[in-house]
Amino acid sequence: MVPLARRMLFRDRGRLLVTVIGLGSTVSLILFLLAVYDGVRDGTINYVRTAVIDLWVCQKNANNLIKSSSFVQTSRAAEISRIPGVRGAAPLMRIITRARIGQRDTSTLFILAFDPRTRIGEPASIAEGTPHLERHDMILDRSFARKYGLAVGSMLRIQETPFRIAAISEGTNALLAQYAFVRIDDGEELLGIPGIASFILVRLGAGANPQQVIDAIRRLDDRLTVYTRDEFVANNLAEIQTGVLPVFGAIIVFGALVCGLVIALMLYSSVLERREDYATLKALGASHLYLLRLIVVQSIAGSLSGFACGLIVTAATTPILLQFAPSVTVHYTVSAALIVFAGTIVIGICGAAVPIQLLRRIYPAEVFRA
Amino acid sequence: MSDVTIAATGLSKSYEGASTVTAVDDVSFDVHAGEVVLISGPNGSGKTTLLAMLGGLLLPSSGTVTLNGRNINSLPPGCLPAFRLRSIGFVFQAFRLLDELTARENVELVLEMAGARDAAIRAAALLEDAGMTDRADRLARNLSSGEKQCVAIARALANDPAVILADEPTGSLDSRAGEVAMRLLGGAARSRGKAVVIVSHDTRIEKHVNRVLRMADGRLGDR
Repeated sequence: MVPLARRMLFRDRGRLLVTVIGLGSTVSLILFLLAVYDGVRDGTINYVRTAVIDLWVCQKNANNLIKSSSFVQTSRAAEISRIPGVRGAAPLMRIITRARIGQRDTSTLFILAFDPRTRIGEPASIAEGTPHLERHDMILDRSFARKYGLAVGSMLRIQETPFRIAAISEGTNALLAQYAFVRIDDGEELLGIPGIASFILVRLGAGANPQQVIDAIRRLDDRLTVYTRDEFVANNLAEIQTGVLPVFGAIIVFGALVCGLVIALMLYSSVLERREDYATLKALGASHLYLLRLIVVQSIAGSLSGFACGLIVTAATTPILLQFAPSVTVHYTVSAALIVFAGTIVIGICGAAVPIQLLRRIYPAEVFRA
Repeated sequence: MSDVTIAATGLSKSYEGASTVTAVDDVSFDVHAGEVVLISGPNGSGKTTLLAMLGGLLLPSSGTVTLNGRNINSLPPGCLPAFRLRSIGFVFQAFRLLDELTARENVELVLEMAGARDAAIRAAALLEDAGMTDRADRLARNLSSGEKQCVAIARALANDPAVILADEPTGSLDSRAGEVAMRLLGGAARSRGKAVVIVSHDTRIEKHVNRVLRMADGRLGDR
């Protein structure tokens, strides 16, 4: 098989190199955004998914941890724990605030105050330190700690109350804010309103029927809403997807368009420059399908080279980017890479459309021009 | 001479514009298998337009071109490329080889386009006949003008077409290379039975052809 497409593609190496670097940079941007999105999504729902909580009890109409406003009486926890099938119930208080390190205010923290006796609501993954909190101890998200140079034993102040970092948690970064965990009594002190929590967290006993427990909680107070863990995870995920995904999606679509335009421009200028060769092929009897394939193969090969370049650029630049933005958590996944790979092929095919239009306007009789 | 291979009947080509320009005016002639015909005339006489119409690259304003009895102007546009590929071989003044392919690949390419399975073997044989075996693996851009035209003639013969159409085949060659090119085209007619139509204003090649047709102002006269 005569490798005409490859030879045509590699004829102008400078142009190909610029194209591949352009595509690679855009592919790298898309891969990075997908990884950030996955990181945000996982960071946001990871706590809800991994904390050993079977039911989330909220104020009516509240349905997620991130944006819902929910107030419930902490005394409900004791009542719920007496329901048959419930192994334990405890309040969880959410406070959105900033910390102060020396004279500097930090970015926003999601402080979750849990009951240290039951430990229902503590983060599932502790990277270092102890989850057994004394008064004014704190478990702090790793990204937040890295961003502000904090470690186990470091001190910070919340509303003028000093807290010591007792442990560092993982999987607790929601990008726009990171989680910190304190004791419920410290939470009440910060909030200044005793007897009020945001949620009641429930653990079920072995063999308990969740629906019966949910019904029993609703009978206790019809102003409460109860979600299973899976439902609450889905609610939080939906919140992220409606809030962040459209922005990321728009950037990714824009990036894909840039990729398509880069490859189209490269091939368009190539066809324009090689007009006589294409006229010759037409004159000799190359079918439209043959010429179409010639362009599409070049386009896909160029796009895939850009994809490969993008992988290299991503691997090389991610550690540098994360140094500048330590609060960003990125999760590179094979599925995201495969989606971008498939997208690259589609873009390669679409990018061929413009030069194919030009090809149609090349007449075989042009071959007689001296 | 055998049956008529290619025939032009009342062939005309006009271009409409502010004023109508007639490039080819009511031209009729035929060429037999094994015959080499030279269409000679000055620049602008309509030779190349005539050749383009004979090759199905340009639609005539009126008249017909028949190749082995088949009116090529009546072929659906989608079928013309395949018809050209198998029935007509082209040789151009500027050679029109693909520079990034080797001599062998240039010949193989048209064989592959026609679906030949033994493209490599046939390309090697054609290049051998053209005396290009030792240049077969050189990139076309690294060949001399004479070598390029030899490869172009081998490419024109690749799919065993009935007709070879050559536009100024010696126009870019020195005398010696021109002689070689003409010997190859003459050989294609004599030993392979091709009908060869050459358009040129190079009078040196008249000794290689069977018939010369003089063209002036788009009209043809026998000589």
